[in-house]
Amino acid sequence: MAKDIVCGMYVDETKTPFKAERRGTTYYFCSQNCLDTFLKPEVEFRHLKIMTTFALTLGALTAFLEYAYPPLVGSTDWNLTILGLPNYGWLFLLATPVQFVAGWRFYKGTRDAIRAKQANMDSLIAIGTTAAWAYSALITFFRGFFPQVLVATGPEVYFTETGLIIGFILLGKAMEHIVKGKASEAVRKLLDLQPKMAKRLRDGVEEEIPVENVAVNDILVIRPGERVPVDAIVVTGYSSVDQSVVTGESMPVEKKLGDEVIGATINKTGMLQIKATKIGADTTLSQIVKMVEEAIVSRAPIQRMADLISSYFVPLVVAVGVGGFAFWYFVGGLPFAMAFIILISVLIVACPCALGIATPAAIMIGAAKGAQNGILIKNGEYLEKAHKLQSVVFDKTGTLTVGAPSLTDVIALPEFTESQVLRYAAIAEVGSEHPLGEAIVRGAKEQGMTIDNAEEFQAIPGHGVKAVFKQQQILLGNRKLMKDHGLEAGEIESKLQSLEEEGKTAMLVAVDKRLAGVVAVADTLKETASEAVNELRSMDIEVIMMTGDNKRTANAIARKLGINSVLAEVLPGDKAKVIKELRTDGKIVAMVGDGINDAPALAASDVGIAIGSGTDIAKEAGGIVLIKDDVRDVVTAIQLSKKTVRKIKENLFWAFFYNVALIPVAAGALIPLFGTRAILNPIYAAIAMAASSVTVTMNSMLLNRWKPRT
Amino acid sequence: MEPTESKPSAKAIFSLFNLGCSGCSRVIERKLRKMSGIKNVTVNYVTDTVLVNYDPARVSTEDIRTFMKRLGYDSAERHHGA
Repeated sequence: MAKDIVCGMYVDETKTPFKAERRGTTYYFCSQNCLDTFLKPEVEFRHLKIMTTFALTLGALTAFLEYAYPPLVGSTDWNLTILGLPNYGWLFLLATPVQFVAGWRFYKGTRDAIRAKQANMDSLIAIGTTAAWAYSALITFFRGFFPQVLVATGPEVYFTETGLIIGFILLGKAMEHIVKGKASEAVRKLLDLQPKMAKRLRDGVEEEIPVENVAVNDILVIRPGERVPVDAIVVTGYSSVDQSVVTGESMPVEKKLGDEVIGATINKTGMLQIKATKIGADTTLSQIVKMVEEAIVSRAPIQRMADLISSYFVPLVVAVGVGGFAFWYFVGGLPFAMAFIILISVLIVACPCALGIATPAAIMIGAAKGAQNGILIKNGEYLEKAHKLQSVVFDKTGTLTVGAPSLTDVIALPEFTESQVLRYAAIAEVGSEHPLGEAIVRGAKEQGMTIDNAEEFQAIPGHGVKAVFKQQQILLGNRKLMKDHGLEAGEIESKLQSLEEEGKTAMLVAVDKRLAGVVAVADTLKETASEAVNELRSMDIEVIMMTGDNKRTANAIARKLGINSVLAEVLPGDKAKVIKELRTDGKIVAMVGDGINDAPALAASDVGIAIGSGTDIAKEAGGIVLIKDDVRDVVTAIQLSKKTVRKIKENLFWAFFYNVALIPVAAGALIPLFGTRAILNPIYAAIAMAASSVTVTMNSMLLNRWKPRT
Repeated sequence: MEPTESKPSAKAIFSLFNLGCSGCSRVIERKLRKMSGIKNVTVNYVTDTVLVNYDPARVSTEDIRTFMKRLGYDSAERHHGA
């Protein structure tokens, strides 16, 4: 059974006659309708290609007959007769099909323009070429009609011009189609990764079912070489999995009992039985695709500006054209035909067609490239802001550090033993969800202690915890906590400081209002962290570390990473406020942290970067979501956005450049200098339009070659 | 960073078939946005798609398609994954 991707119905692939192949994959359809719908873009493109070739070929032939052939046979195009028909008659026969068959779409476009009461490029082309064609036809058939233009070489006809103009404009459109195809391809590649079928194990029987029928908790079987169909968890088996489709890393990851596997990843060596956890739109792949699609549809501010400019551009240029025509005809005294040519040339350059694809093409390819590497940008706005970043704030725990602190030191004051100190600390932190607390408890258990539960427990943010055990009050926390209870660090202060200078978090332990000792905990720095920091600094971006740690510990850690600016002792609830304060200087600030816990801080920044999201993408706050836990992805994301924005700017430049450069020439600006030879043949205007489409196309495709620098 | 909306809103994506040029996409946006019950329209010229945010109580996807047809554009509603 296969799924008709147009209407969603299931069809029996062995029975249905409606199928099509695209890029190696066969698609099946329920009806002719759906098949047609699927093929429409291809059919349209093929039609366009045929028309383009048709127009350019006939146009070239017309050019030959009008300009090259007559001199060859020693005649002028006006006086020449071929096979009994005057040369002009042949030109008419060649140009008319081009005008009305290849050029038919411009007439359709004109109808749309009338309906929408808004001029568009199609109407400009149609008006220009039709007028030229009609004028030329009149001269051909009513030779006596325009005596004033009779010159030794005969009146000018413009059949060549109409044919080649149409041909080149069509060429430009064909280029736009190519770009649209390539850009969509990047996204489609992501979608194609989704397996269509799954093998479900039920009551010992294995059954192949469409992936849509998989329910949560179904057991599925994956053999070596197959793709995981949905997000799931391993229940039996052991294998390694290539997760590159989601993370961009091709190093296989080992999966064993209890490990999560992601839909669309490839199982390599072993057989696995997995239990489905997320299906349909909840799977990681679906979420990625959804995010990429939304990024593409969104409007980057640059694009809005470009749209605004072009909405003024077109009427302005048309006015220049009409004004130019009026000027040269009435004031300059040029013959009607010449002034008309000027008008046509300007009309053709009036439309910055490539503008329509300049921004979207780049954003599409950029977003898709990002997704291939585990970098998800939520919309065009963040893409732009990311490239302007001046400061990046890193939340320390879990972002710069591995997030699994461990016990490093236990120091006891004279009346206590170290194991007592540790034991009290552990009791106070049993059941704590704070990583520091967990580290203490783990450390205690590793030493073989059994930890009892405290009878009362209270966590005080920014200070520590207070617990009661067997009527003894235990305090575990920083100096502030102790001070609140009338205790000073005293002799132990220097020990505390030296531990902090090593980058450890040292906590005081007090029992029944007497200081008992110190436990120290340290988190490992991620290996890639300092590399990332260096990269950012070489990009002239300020790096700031934010943490709840005390100043000394924070500074010590920052020093190890090469970070100069530290925001220490920040309470969890204040993170967002701190970010806001940084922004009041007008700086563009990014915050890198956990997408769920740090959500308010991420939201407060200009660009929130959620790191290490793993498979839960949708819930992550922030404008950019990094699937991997690698800090260097922050650098990569910024580089990608810079590259993409640069591409957009280049495209916009090229989209406008040809137009802006040619308008003065088309309007006749060079005539005072060079005489009427300087009138721009509208064919060149059409070539310029095609060239701008080609340039934008090729330029956008270059972005496909970008690879993250590791 | 999600906008909060007080009225019920639905999103629909349509594939457009004869989008001639980028200028036309802007025209569709402007005209469609003026339709009652439509909150937001974004046309993506590159993928030939229209994303519409609308109030399902006041307008249906068929209404939207008819409106676009009158502007001269054939369309089909896209289901996820197509």
